[in-house]
Amino acid sequence: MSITPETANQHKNDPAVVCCLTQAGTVISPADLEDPGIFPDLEDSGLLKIPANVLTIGQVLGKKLVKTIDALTPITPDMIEGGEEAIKETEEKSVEAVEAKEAKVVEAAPVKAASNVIRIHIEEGKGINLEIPAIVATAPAGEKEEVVQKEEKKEVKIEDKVKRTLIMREFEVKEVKLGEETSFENGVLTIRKSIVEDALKADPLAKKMEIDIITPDNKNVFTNTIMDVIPIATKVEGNLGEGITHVMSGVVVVLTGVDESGIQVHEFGSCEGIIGEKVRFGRPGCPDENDIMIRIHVTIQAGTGMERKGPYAAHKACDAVIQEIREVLKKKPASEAVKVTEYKDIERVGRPRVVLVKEIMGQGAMHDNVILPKEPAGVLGGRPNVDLGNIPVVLSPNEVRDGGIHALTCIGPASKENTRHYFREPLVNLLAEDEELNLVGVVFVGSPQVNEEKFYVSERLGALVEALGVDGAIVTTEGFGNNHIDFASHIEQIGKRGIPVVGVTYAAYQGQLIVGNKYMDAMIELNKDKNGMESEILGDNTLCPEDARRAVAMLKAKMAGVKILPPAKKWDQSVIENNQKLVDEKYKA
Amino acid sequence: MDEIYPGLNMIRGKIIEVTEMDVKIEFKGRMGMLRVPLRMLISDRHPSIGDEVELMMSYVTLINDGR
Repeated sequence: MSITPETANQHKNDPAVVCCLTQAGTVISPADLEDPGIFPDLEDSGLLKIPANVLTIGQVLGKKLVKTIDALTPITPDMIEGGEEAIKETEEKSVEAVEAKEAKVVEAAPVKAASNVIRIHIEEGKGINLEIPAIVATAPAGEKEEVVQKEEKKEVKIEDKVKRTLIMREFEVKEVKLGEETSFENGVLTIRKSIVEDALKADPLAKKMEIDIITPDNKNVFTNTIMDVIPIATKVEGNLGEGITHVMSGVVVVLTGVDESGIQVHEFGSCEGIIGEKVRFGRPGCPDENDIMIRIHVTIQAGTGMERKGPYAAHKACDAVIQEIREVLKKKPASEAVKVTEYKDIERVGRPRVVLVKEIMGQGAMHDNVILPKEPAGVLGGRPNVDLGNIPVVLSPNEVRDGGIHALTCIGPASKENTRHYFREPLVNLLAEDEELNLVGVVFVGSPQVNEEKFYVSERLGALVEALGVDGAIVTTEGFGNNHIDFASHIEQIGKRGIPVVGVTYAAYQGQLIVGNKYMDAMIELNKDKNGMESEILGDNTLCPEDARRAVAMLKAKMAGVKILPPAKKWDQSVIENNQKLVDEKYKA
Repeated sequence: MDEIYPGLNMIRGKIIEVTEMDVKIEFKGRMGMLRVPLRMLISDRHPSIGDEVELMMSYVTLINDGR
């Protein structure tokens, strides 16, 4: 099969192999060459063996063949006119290429905004008149100078604009017990036993509730499926994303659920078993190794586990319990806080504008999330993304870090992002704190069930990102399945607008991508399981700080125009480990 | 025993149950049933009972010697 000039150009540095019997005297054109994309398959099946001295497509195009060669013969210097010279060129070039690459990697850090470019590409045409208003033609030049000047003065001063500040006061919990009244004194959190009756009033479908405490030294207990891991936090001043938030450290709520007939609520995403074995402690969305777990177990009406209202009822009842704890947490004096963190939404003037797009499940039932509840990581007051038609919704980085997303999602336990994950999302934190980037916002876009709806929301995302005028984007998704269809489409929508884009997902062996496009050339794999499987351990294959570092490095490299090597044919964890090493050396993690 | 290659075949079936979370599929030719979450179903419209589906499937092989 021959290739097109476009493909030939894409693969100009790949080996040149003729596709068919080619006669001596032929001037080699793309039509004579085989598609390098299928070489791995041909090599596997033994049809093709590429020698070390093979010439590249770029080197052979337009050259004359001096002997007749069979189909699938790699072109070596002795087969073309002036072949020996080509070898010399190759050697010189390869030395240059290596150096250039290393240099570029080192330089990859400060990235200039790549806007203000007018690209006009005309392959063939006649009588074309281009009238560009003078203002457009001259403005970029003027602005470009400005950018250069700014960079020179960088050392002097760049006024960053703080858009809003969020103060988070942490209160340490040393012990949790059940008692007569809800209180929080001297690090001891007491939860009123009788709260279960009141909490069930939150939703008639919630039939029964049990609360118990799992201490870090006793993880050898059975648990029903973990529906969510929720931090306990409350607003003291201001709305989500600004003002003051109080948060309890050393403790986390674990919501579990079954229906009245004993069926685990997250039938497909269920991870019932011994809690010490079923949770990857320390992941952003999981309890930490030394966290006390308040387990709230809700039984919902039989049969409703398959409908949206059932699991939602469990989340509402659980939130009612947390709300009572929030009320006592609100009253704690600032002086008792063990740690105070200031989060700032900053407009970093002059730095490349980047956006983070997080695809969340939106197929229905537990494939859903509550966006922007009143209380951090709460339920009430928020809107489920399924009800919003899964349309992209923009949150500020601070809104995300202040618990702007409450996850209802079931998917596989290993790749699902719990509420706590969004509360301490590593990629949001890293991008927000990166001095070289200007994170303009975090876009949440749901993944609907039907293909037509997927493309509808994806096109809206493209339009939104275009309007944001960003210089780079990262798209992440939790889980795997048909959500990869819109995940790929989001990347295409952004990529085709000329914006460098990086994709982040779990795929590996079990969740391998089912679609792809040419913009998906910079991908970050989240897998941590040695077999590449959904390991059924909560949070195992979710986005961790080390993945976030790779994603940001990949984005910077792509924005700087550094060449990204094509992936291995099959999932290969060593590629990931090697990238991790490179990134961690560079950024001194 | 000779090595057996279970092989992938295109299997057809019918949706016999739809919930807000999953679909239940009955395979043609009395090949059994399968329940999958909605995110595993690729569809141009919302699925309903009686819809036909197809997938690649092999015979199921026990891999732990039955222990």
